[in-house]
Amino acid sequence: MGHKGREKRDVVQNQRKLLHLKVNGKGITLTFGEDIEPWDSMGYDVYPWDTLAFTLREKLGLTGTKVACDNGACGSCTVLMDQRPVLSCSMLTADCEGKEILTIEGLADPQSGKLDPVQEAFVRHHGIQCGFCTPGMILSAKALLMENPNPSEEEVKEGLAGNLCRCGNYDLMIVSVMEAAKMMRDKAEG
Amino acid sequence: MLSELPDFEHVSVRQVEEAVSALRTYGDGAKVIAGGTDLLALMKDRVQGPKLPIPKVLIDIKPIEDMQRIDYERAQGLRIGAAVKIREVLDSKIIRKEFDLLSQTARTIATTQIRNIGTVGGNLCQKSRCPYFRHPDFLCHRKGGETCFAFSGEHKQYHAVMKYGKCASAHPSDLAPCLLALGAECVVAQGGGREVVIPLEKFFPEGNDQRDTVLRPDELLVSLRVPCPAEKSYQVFLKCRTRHSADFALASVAVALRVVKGVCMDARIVLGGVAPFPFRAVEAEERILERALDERLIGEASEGSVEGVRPLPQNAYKSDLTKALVNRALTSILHQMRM
Repeated sequence: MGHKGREKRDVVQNQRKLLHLKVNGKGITLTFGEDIEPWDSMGYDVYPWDTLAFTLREKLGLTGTKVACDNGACGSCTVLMDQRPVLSCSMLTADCEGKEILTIEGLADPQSGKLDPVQEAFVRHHGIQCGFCTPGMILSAKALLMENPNPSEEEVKEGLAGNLCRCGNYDLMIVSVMEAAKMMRDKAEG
Repeated sequence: MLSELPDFEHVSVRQVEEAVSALRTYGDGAKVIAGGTDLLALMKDRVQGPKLPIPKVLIDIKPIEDMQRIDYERAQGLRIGAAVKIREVLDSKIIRKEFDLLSQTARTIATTQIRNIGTVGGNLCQKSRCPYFRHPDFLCHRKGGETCFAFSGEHKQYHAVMKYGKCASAHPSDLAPCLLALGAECVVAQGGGREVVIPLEKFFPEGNDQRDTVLRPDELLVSLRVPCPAEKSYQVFLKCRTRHSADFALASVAVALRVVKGVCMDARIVLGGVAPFPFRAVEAEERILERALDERLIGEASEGSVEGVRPLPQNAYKSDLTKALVNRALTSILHQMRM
């Protein structure tokens, strides 16, 4: 239960508190602290050393977020925080108070289940091989297109530079993102 | 499944003063966390040694509003809080307009995701990229051990070619050479509400020092002050990487020149990735000072930039690389001047 910090209790004041974050549009309250007991946590508990990737996957069951290097190098664990891509393996859940998180599970339309244009384009152009980097790749692409709806191929490459694909399927990903950009522009123009 | 972080206490502070007193209370086992991209990776890998204990307490300085701001006044210049994210430097209109060198540099740092988390202070205080330093099984000089394994081992990419002491690693920061070229100063908070101002040049210790910065364990880098560049200031930042889209510098160069009637009145040429600290190439600066820049002079200056170079067996290429970068940077300034 992570009670190893207990001997230091006399020095450290108890920092137990509630953390509120929004994950995929749904408000979530987490109990955060050093000495949470299972019976007094109000739902989900978080330890100071839990990364956002860990909380998403192991506590909230959102296993769409993948962890590959777990060291901030590969971008597999990319999620959007307040609409900007961040590495969930290199962030503490403790630091996410009040943040809005979007994972791959929240990208499709929640009512109709219709895929996001980026996802659709990845399916259509086979921007996927083994699929492990795909959630992070799609979220990076989504963030890029939200900021720059009409990117050049060079800008797409730059936007996805933080995501590694060990299958080496970069070409088809770039095709997919360019297509998604076109789909989104067409839709905006009606 | 996941490589877990070791246990630690997480303490949030809202005032600089609180942070400093927390550092003092918890002593050696405490570390400040802002973006955490470098710190958490080292902790996950259990990188430790007598000089580098795994932190037991992380003091989160992100809630300190004062450290999150970018302020600008014509007379005082720019003030960047140490916890300002790299992304915010890129987005700042005033930086784009008046401190172009900073924008150019911020664009080349890491990846989109890391720029969204990583901070200016973190970039300056980041640890060596040496693979032996970052490996838990090598107790190297930097961690408080006896030997540097890089001298006889791998030192192709992230190691120094000059000014190194017992440790071969080079300083990895891109912002360090950039801010040094802009003449920045560090504002450091000490206990008792005291603040001292250290020129960035003095912020990084010499080669034999095992520390990354001159900060004592109970001191906190609060902000950076950058004076306004003079009128007619030309600034260029260039960085060479193995993987162009996102990587640490093999070598980088930041140049800021003040030119009056075609003559260089002030020159700052700072090299990154080639020495244990951002290295001011005074030799190169002197060759162009008070002279009109031309191709011949640029050639001389780039030769002079690596004066005193002592490359290791695998990284002699860095000396040529540095010369080429200095040459390219000055040449592009020459083109700008002629436009």
